[in-house]
Amino acid sequence: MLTGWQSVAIFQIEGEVIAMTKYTSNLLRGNTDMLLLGLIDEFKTTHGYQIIKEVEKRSNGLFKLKEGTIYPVLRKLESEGLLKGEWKATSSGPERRCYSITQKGREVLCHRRASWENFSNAINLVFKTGEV
Amino acid sequence: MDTVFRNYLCQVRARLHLKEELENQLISELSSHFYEKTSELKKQGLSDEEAAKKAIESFGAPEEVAQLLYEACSKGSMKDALKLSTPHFIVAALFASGLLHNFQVVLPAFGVVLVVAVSGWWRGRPDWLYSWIGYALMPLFAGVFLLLPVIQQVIMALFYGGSLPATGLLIGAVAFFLMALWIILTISVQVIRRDWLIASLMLAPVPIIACWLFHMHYGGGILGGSEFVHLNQPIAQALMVLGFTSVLFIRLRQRIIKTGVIITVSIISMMMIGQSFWGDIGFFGLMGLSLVSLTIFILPAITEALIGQGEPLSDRQ
Repeated sequence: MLTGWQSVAIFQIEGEVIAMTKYTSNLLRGNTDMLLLGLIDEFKTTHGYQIIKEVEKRSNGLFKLKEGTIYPVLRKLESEGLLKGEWKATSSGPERRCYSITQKGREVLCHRRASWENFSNAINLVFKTGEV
Repeated sequence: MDTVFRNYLCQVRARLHLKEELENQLISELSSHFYEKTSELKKQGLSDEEAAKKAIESFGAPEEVAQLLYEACSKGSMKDALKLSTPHFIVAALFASGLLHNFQVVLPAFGVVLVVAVSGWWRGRPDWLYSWIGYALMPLFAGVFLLLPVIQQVIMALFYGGSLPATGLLIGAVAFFLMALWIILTISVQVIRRDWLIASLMLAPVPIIACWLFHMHYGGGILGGSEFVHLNQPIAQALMVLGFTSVLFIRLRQRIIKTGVIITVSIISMMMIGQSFWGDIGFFGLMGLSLVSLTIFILPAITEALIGQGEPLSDRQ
């Protein structure tokens, strides 16, 4: 369902993995949808700014989203019925658009997580076999 | 709001080409993000200017953000695609069946097109509406075309002497000519403000129908036409191709591909029509028809560049 149109939030990779930037960036691009769905599922309802901060924090600053580019991904997920967005008033400052995951989004996330785990397990198994 | 960020949002908005309501929402979302970001940076000790500068840098280039937002939000459903292509298929069916000269069929058909176009215009102008508007304008295009000899006669009489047409005909012709032009231009400009590419798609049948009118008019009269039945099939085919192009247009996400598809189809359709109507028209004939298609395609883009696109940012945004 999420294939065909690549996730487009652009990551900037920092730290010691500069030589792997392109490779890692491609890996991340293919999984941005899953990362965002996972975070939104965990927070129940959240907004773009908080997601960016959380991604950066949890990756120890390794994944830095170009901030304007997260909204196309959120909108695409919303148009596919995986997220639901609604405007909420804040105590100070302008209204925020907050996103929550839908039942369909949860099912897709579950499927994507299982695929990711199978894939990474398979990679680890191949490397392990090579060591033996 | 910071002036630099306001300029940034203007640059994003100018490239969005989405429905006004959706554009407002997206711009508000970016504004709200900017507010949070600058507030946090100011808490860290940055000045207003430094915070704004840093926040803008973190957003990414406006062209890139606008392009990604367009690709995320512009794709319509299959239902919308079918609605967009329906008027092409209706008119193609009229040509293919040879019923275009039967007013008992043509008038109700254009009545339906007109009702859908007008009601859609007042109900939020969905993306599938614009082909209906294009065909709703077609009788006006045809009227203007038919009145060209009368207008030509008036101009000749005014500048070079000669007899004017009868007063009643003259007043009626000039009134219709001006009213039709006003309606066509007003509606076209509003569609161009929404998105010049949609306007180009809306106007895509115009050169095809104009070729048909031209051929009929100078070949013995538009209202008779039984000797021109052989022209119906190529016109129907060209309109069918436009119908399928509309489906592609609404289903594709990338603007550059949409543009390429419309240009290619418009040029090929005109070449097909040229070959069918006038036989072997040679290299320069084909080039001429391609140029006509390209001009009609590019005209909305030029107009948008002159008049600007969309609404300015409100203070709230």
